Amino acid sequence: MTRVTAETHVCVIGAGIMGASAAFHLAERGIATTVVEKAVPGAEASGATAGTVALLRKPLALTPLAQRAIDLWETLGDRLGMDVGYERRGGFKVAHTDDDVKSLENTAAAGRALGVDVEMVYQPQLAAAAPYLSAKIVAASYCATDGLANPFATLRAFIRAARQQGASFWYGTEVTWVHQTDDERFLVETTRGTIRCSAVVAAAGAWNLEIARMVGVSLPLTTALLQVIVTDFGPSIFPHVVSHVRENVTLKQQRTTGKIMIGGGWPGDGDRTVGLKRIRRESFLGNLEWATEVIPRIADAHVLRAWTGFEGRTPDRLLISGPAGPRGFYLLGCSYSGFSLSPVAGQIAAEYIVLGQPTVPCECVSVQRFLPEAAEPLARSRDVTQ
Amino acid sequence: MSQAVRIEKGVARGESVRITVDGEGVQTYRGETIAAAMLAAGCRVMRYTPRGHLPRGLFCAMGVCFECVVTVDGSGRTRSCTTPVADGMVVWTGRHGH
Amino acid sequence: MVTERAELVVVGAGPAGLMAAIEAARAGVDVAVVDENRRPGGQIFRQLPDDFVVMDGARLGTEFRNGRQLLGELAGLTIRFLLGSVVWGSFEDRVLEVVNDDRGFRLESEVIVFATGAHDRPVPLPGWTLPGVLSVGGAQTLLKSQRILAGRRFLMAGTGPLQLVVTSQLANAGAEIVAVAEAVPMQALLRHVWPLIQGWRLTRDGIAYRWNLLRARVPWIAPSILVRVEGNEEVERATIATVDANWRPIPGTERTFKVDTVCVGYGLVPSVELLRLCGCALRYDETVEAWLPERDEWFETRKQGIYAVGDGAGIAGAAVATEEGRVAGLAVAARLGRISDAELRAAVSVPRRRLHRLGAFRAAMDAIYRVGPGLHELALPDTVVCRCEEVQLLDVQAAIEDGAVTLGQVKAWTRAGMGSCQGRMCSVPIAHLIARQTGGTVEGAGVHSALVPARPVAIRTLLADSQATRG
Repeated sequence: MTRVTAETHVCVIGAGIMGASAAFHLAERGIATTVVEKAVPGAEASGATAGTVALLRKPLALTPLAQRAIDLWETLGDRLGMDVGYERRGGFKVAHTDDDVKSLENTAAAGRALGVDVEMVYQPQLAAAAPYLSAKIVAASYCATDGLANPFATLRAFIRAARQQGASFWYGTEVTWVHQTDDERFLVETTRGTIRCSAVVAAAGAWNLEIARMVGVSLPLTTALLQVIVTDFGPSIFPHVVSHVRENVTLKQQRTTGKIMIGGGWPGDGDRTVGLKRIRRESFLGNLEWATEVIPRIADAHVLRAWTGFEGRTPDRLLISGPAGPRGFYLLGCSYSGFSLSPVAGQIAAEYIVLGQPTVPCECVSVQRFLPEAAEPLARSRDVTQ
Repeated sequence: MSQAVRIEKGVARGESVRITVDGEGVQTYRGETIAAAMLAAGCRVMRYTPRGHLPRGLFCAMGVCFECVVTVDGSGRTRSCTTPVADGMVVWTGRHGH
Repeated sequence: MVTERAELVVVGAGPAGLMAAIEAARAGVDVAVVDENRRPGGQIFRQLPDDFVVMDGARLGTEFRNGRQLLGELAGLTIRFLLGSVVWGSFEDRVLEVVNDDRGFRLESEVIVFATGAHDRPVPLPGWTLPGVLSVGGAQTLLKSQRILAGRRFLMAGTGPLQLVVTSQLANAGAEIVAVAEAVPMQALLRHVWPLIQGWRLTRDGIAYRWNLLRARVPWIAPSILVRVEGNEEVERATIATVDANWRPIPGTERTFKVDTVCVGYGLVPSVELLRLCGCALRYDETVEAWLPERDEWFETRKQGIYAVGDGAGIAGAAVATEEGRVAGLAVAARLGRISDAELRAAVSVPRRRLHRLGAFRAAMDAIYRVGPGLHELALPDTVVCRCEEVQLLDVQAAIEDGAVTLGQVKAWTRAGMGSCQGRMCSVPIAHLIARQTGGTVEGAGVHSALVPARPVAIRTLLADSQATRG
């Protein structure tokens, strides 16, 4: 008989940006919440994001949600009582080749159809609007609502606000099993004791694969290890958020310090099961090369740090947020552009639990798109084969 | 403004070199570091911090702490303690907002 | 990108690295030595610039002469020197990524000897970021390699042999030493008489330095500690206080001095970033309050083919560094089949005897000058702890309050350690803060993550020869 050491209403697994956001939204609504994190907050994907907050995302299906997220970002700092570094900078997505330009034009048109204010800018107007761009750039799309925020500050703000509203955070604590009891509650066994709760939100990123399996849900989740790079103090070069249409480089620069965040989804080398992760040389140099291809003056900067984080990936790269498996079990996260969506993603999870239905349109992020069979409560013992 | 002291006894310095620091001419010698030249000229404030605009100067003198970083025209941000002077070098501390 | 190759790569051209290179090269090993400085010699044997002409070598002190002598041993040996070159990373075993002013290149070898030396222990205290406050090592470097006195009126605040040596050197060079604030009372030496006798040469030198200062009437105030530095844009005043056995200031004992320069010297910390980056196991030593690489009797780390010697593996001074380098160099020569095991054992017997004797002396120094807890309690709430990112003590404390209990988490929450020095100036103090506030251990606070690059590198230089494919 497992001894219960803590009782709560909702147990959130993972204190990345998704888990923290969910915990905040739950706690704000008065729901007793405990977050269990196996390492430290932001140890993986949430700590290795370039921090873009953008409206026009690939896949386009995420755009309506991204719009809601931006609305939340506007007042998030005030709501959380702590500056999250959100700034609307205006974003250029640039293209080198004719095919790239076509792709941009298509995405822009589709975006406009969804109500996004995005326009195409061609040379020579582009040179006037963004003089820092390489002359090899032939065109760009511009979206005035694109911006950035500070990933660690945002994570800390969510956690702080959640704690202020009564949520508990357990760090360095690993979930060893999740099972549903006869009365449809859950026992979450951890390395620091067992929690009994009425609902579980799995926001463990790449580790959602294992957590989902514990309750008999087979997620088509793969693991990716992504690198980001930041430069040292330096002069101001560009004010906008800049990315390439092929998404292999994203660039943003801090105003006060001139530090440049360089992203683009370049893969590192690692093994999640043994906690090994390191920078891949070709990715490091390739990412830098693309950065200077887009903004040549970046070559004057000095690389200060490069680091990685594991993320979970769904086949369509869309966010997952919704019920799966046993009643009361929810999955959250693993999204392309997760940081950008995090304020609304956590809200969706909270609303499922509190209201039974989210108030924002999120059909596209339902877990059911992977699990066509109706979710059945599976075996309650540990005899689920891995 | 305190001045650092060049020790003359026992060593002869190299050829005379002239650099400017914040627009002012500074006499120095080939083989000296920018930091040594600045200190000898009484310029102990080498930069102002990006956020608080607080003055900083030489601290570790071995290239580890990055406090002595100045802006050198044509080279960007440079650790003055490890960089030798060159004739005509133009150095800025950011004192006048440069 | 070009890949240079050598049988042995030595990182660091101080006494430990040079000696390892010399012994290996003498045995016929193909050696390359990398150092970020433009001249070999490391910190202790800092040489003057080529353009300076030495008129009177005697004035430059014994360390200068010893350095010249060591460098003299290089004559006739074929050793490639890669100076002005910075090792910034490693993506494969025994392949180092290096940049100099012009280009990046890879350096591949069968064996690596890391002799990366140390840097001064950072001690956050009110006013420590004012121009005019510098580390005692920094004052020494300026004196040795540029023949410049950092100021006119000095307050020396620190502990141990390095402070003694540098104060003496500064006084000889004409500095006005207003006072020396030594944290450890003289009586502490009396409890370790036998080791001091075993290392009698070093003890004799120490007595000579101390006598030098007595003759020059330099006020020696012990036990006392620096508690505050004040000034508008530069140092104007410094305040010290008498301390108890735990290095805690005793109320009512403060004394303020009008000075323009403060030299802070509370010990050295080995620079282990590259060792960590290459995957060498480190352990935390509580006596010296530093992370040190685990090494066997040949100074090989737990990572195959990587050795660590000198101050970069544990603060022990130039004499120990030289002998360790010698042993490691010979071990590498044997490993690469240039000398037999019998020859190796014969060759290291004298160095090992020396190390044994010096070891006893060193252990005594470590015990006598062991840092007291009071040193970690000098910062006030608005004292900057992370110099690069301007993070104050209260910011760090607030983060720990919010649940950040490792160096990595404090870094994520406050930016402390995200600056140009990559945590070298703030990791140690912050680890102590975490331990104190959480009731945990310094070891438990973790280490500053070993990230690439180990030093800021210019993007232009990295890409100069890059063959990276376009995505």
